[in-house]
Amino acid sequence: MTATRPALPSPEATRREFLASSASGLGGVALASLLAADNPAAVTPAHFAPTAKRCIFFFMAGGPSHVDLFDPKPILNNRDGQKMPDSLLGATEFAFIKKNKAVLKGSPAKFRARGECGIEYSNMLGQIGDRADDIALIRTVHGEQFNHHPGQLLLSCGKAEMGRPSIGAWLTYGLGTESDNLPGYVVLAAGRGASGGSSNWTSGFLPSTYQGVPFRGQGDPILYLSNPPGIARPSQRRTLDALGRLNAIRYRDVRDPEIASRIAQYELAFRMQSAAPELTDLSGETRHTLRAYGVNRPTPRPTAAMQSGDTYHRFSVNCLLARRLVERGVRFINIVHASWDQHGKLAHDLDWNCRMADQPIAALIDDLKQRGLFDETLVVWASEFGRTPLGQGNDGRDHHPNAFSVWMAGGGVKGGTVYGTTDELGWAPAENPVHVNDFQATLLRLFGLDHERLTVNHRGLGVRLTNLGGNVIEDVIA
Amino acid sequence: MHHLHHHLLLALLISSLSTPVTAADKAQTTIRFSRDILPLLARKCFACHGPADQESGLALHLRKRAIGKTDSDHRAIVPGHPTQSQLLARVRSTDPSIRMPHDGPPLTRDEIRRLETWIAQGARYEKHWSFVPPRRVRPPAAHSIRNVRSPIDRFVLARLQPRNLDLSPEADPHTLVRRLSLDLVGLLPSRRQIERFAANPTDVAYEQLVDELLASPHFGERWGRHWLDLARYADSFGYERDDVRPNAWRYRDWVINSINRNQPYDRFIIEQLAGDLLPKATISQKLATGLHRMNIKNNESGINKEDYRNRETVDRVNTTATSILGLTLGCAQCHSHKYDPIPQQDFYAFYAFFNNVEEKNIDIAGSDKDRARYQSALADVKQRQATLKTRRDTIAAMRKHADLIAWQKSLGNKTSSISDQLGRLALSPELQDLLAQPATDFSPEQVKIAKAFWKTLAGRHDDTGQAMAQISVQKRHLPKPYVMTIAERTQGRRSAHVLLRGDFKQKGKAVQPATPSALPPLSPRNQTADRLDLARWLVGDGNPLSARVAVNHAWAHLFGRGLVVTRDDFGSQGAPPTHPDLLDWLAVEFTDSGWDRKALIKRIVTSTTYRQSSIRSTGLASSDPDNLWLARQSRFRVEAEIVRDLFLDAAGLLHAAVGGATIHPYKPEGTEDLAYKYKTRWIVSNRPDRYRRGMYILFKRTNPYPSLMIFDSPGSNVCLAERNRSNTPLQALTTLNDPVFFECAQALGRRLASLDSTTDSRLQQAALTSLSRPLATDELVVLRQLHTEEVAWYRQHTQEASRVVGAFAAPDTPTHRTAAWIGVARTLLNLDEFLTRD
Repeated sequence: MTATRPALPSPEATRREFLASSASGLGGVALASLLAADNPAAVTPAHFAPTAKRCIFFFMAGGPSHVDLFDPKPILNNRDGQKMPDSLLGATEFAFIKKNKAVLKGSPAKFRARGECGIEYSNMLGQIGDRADDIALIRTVHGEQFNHHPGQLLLSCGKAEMGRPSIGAWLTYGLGTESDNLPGYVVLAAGRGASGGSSNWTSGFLPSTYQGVPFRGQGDPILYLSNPPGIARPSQRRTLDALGRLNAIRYRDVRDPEIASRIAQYELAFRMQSAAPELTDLSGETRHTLRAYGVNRPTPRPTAAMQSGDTYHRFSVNCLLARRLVERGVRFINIVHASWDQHGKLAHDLDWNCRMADQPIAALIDDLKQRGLFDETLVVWASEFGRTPLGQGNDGRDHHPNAFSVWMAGGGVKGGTVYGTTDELGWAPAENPVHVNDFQATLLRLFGLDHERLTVNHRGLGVRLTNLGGNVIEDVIA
Repeated sequence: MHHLHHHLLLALLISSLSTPVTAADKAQTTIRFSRDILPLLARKCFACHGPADQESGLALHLRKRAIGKTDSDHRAIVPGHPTQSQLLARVRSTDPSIRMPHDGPPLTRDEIRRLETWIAQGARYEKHWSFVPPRRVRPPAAHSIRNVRSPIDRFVLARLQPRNLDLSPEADPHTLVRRLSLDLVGLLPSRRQIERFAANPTDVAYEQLVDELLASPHFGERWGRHWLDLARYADSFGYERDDVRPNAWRYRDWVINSINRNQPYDRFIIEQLAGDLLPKATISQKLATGLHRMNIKNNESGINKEDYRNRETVDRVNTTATSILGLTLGCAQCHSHKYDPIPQQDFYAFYAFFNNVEEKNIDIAGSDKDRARYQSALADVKQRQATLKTRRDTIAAMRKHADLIAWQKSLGNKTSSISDQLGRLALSPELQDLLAQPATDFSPEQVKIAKAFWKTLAGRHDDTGQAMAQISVQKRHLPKPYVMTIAERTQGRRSAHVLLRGDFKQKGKAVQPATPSALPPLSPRNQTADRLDLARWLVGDGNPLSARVAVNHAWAHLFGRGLVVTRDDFGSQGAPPTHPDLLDWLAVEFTDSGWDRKALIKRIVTSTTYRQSSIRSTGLASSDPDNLWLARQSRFRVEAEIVRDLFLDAAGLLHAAVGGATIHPYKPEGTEDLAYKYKTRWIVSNRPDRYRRGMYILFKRTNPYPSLMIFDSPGSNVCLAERNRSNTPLQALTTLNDPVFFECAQALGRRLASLDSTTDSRLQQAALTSLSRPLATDELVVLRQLHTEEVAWYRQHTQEASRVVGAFAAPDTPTHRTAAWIGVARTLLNLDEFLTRD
């Protein structure tokens, strides 16, 4: 056996090799074009002409009560405390309610017609309701999962099964990202997290390139964004230059395109180090804007269960950050707020949550419109299920996946619409039921994606976001 | 292939495998059903005319049906007569209402030609290749003995030569040592290993090195972790609150130990699937069954328990089928498999083996000391609970009375009873003494005190309730001394049924435990087959899949890709093997050796094919960009845990203890915020165990350790046969800035600063430590310049310098010099090459 270092490959250089071998001056631009061909995050064309380009997805985890917020059922107040007809109860399963004791519960909310469309919204979300003409409200969403985490998986990933990609992952996989210096899929949270945790923004079996990147409320906005103590930006630049040159030498010798990609990722990381703090620095926003979003609002006491003393402020900031992210071309922004799980203390805690959410979400819609971003930005309010028209204990409602409400606005959605009708109690869809997978198919359609064609072969199956279902609800598309 | 589009690669593979490329492949132009036709029918036709659906009465997966009459009285296939075969007419048609496939693009000309030839040759069917047991194949003769060290090389050369390709030259000795070390133990080679082999790179020395690494206890960690991906190992339950599982790591230790002592693979499988059913099962054999307690489990209140028991059973079926058989049985959960001959009934017959699995926690976890500690902690908690309960009850009883006087009276004004009861309230001695005296004799001042006390009773009652709630949380978090295993349910056994559409509420026909009908039959010990029969069948004589799947996994870990690219799918939707004869030869060798894992790995790594350079020559980049034909080795980034391990190792910080409990190294504050309210109590360890290998870090499924996830660690929710290998900016931020990784740069920097030698020689030593090789001149130039600039910068910026150095000051060295070396170390550790196995 001989043991010599193998001869270097012949000097015929491909375009990539040429660029890399002249790499002591390897600039970002050259690299970007060099890598465009196989960059997994590069923008790729959709199946149809899209109306939405970006999505702000409010994930209100826990199960906000549809009968108190979006779907008025005066009969509940008339029959408060009465038993429910057995015909409706049927084979329904509850997480906690005991069937033989179950009675209907009236709503503390007051509904009235809003906007020119005259669709009824609750006074608990009055400011959002006042934007009724911009919103398509779907009152007949349903799923089959009546526990939190499985329900969240159904909503986020299309099936109550772990290991599948979430909506944001599918979108960035399908369409790429337009931002040169921020991740394409960002997660913002206020209060405590959802029980599904990272499984709600996972890339599942897709590469981690497509997973949601949580922006943090404390410390660095992105994990490990800051240099270690004492490493100033010039030092970081020197390190990156040396890395670029050494990696380029290696690339010249072994010709693995992965090395070129690594160089580009380090440069992107370096740009992110200035772009992310710039993003979270709100000092350039006017006092008017800050006030509109409710930034620096005090958080009223007593707080709702599991919430902290700065939740209102954090939620407002997240809404404002969402607009700033949209402006910078980020594809999918998931705003998570958990604790809509009112098994008890419904009157207080639901009101508390609504006062947190109402003003900043309304302000976000206005702001997007003023800046001309609304037509290309889809805003979604969704949750894993709604709550029972039946009461639980003195002042609560149980999980209810049979029928609940989801709304969308902007991004090519037909505003001033209500789709689907539930029965007189808000128990089940009476007409135009919309499965969670149908909602997902519709969302993808707004982005120009055919949910049946956006598939990935995984374990012998063509897996898609909408699992085995999905019908686009044309009536909510403008 | 950082962007994993297996389906694309698969399409490419299938076309390149079934399209003869050169004259030398001509021998194979006889159409072979399983290689050339079945994959085509499966992809294009079976969705409507296959095992699950037979539209228009046509079923193409069975010859008898395919050549029979359809509903319209036509014959799709008339053997020997292509022109009379409707199938060809329909795929050729240009009329969209007639053309097949109805949905989707028409067949290519080549595909049609293949069908035509096959029908002309008699339309013979044969079993899917992986369902036919591996044959003992004679290695082909090599054209020259150059480059041939092992039969493996003959098989590889036989596929290369018709394509005018040849093996690449051998990798240089430094690369070889590093490759072997990363592949076999997942750590950097020692300086001694590098220097010894570089000085004398003979076959004998190479084999010595291989033996040394196979004997290392770190071998079990490295290869154990591969298995843990399949086993969906994690330290928490998965759903909702996602509590930490007690002592899950005991199963991990079992895996590491089994692999280290080279337990034969068949025993390894049997014990994990059915260790509890072995005659006179040992504790270790029971512990092995922890495999099927690793599934995610929903402890959320208000769930339907049967629903989740069913889901867990399905997961056990899928994990078993994927990890050992390489089959996607899960497809048949809701309906008969569309492509493979696996009817829905077969799925539930397999399910029946696991339908009477019972969760059993056995008390073998700790040493006697652990157990004693748990018992005393538990006794302490119970004692406190009892005290609090008595206190609360006493207060509740007192509150029924209007005041102290009335209460004393209710006790018959007996001083002893009154004192006794007050003693339960944890009062100050003065107050207790006062309240025990007859209240009727109190001075006005004393009355005031007594009244005030009586007013606070409600609050005291609440406080006690709260304290009790806290204790019950503490009780839940006591380190339980048990290990989770499975056992067979003996009473009230459940019968298994086909579940219609996979719905646990819709029971169909009853089924008995049985193995898939397309595979060889199982002979049970008793009338009804059980898990142990299944386990023995899986790794028994005549099982066509398990040995192939196992050697394919080993191959994939040593070449970056399996001989069957779809490691989790050996069915008709999966990729056919690139080197079918080599796969069979390895499988037969493996079983003949007594399922000897170490012998298998040694056989592969001593081949010339393994020892090739991974450099892509310009020619190879275009003729075989995905390296299907193995004209070179592959080059790939190491896995998440290994990234950490290499940093710690290069820094000299690694705490190399093998096995044992899960660890809590540094984790940034606030990363729990996005998970459920019951925050994991992540108390960062300040003991040396915080420098242990990445595989020991506590893995909480809904809130996994950030740097692991950033480098594509599996989510561990389901069985995973192949990890992604992404390349992202967050990875760059992690290795540059994560305090764990920066600490490694600091430690390596201090070591370099402490050396007594020239700059160049220190740089060379740094390279030897991190890259396992000396630097070339052009590299040295870059690093020398960096070092000079860093020294100059930190001489000017002394505050920054001392912050960079932190706790890692080198003795007798100016701070700015140490800081500069830390900068150099940080650069070396962030090189693509450092994270890469070449």
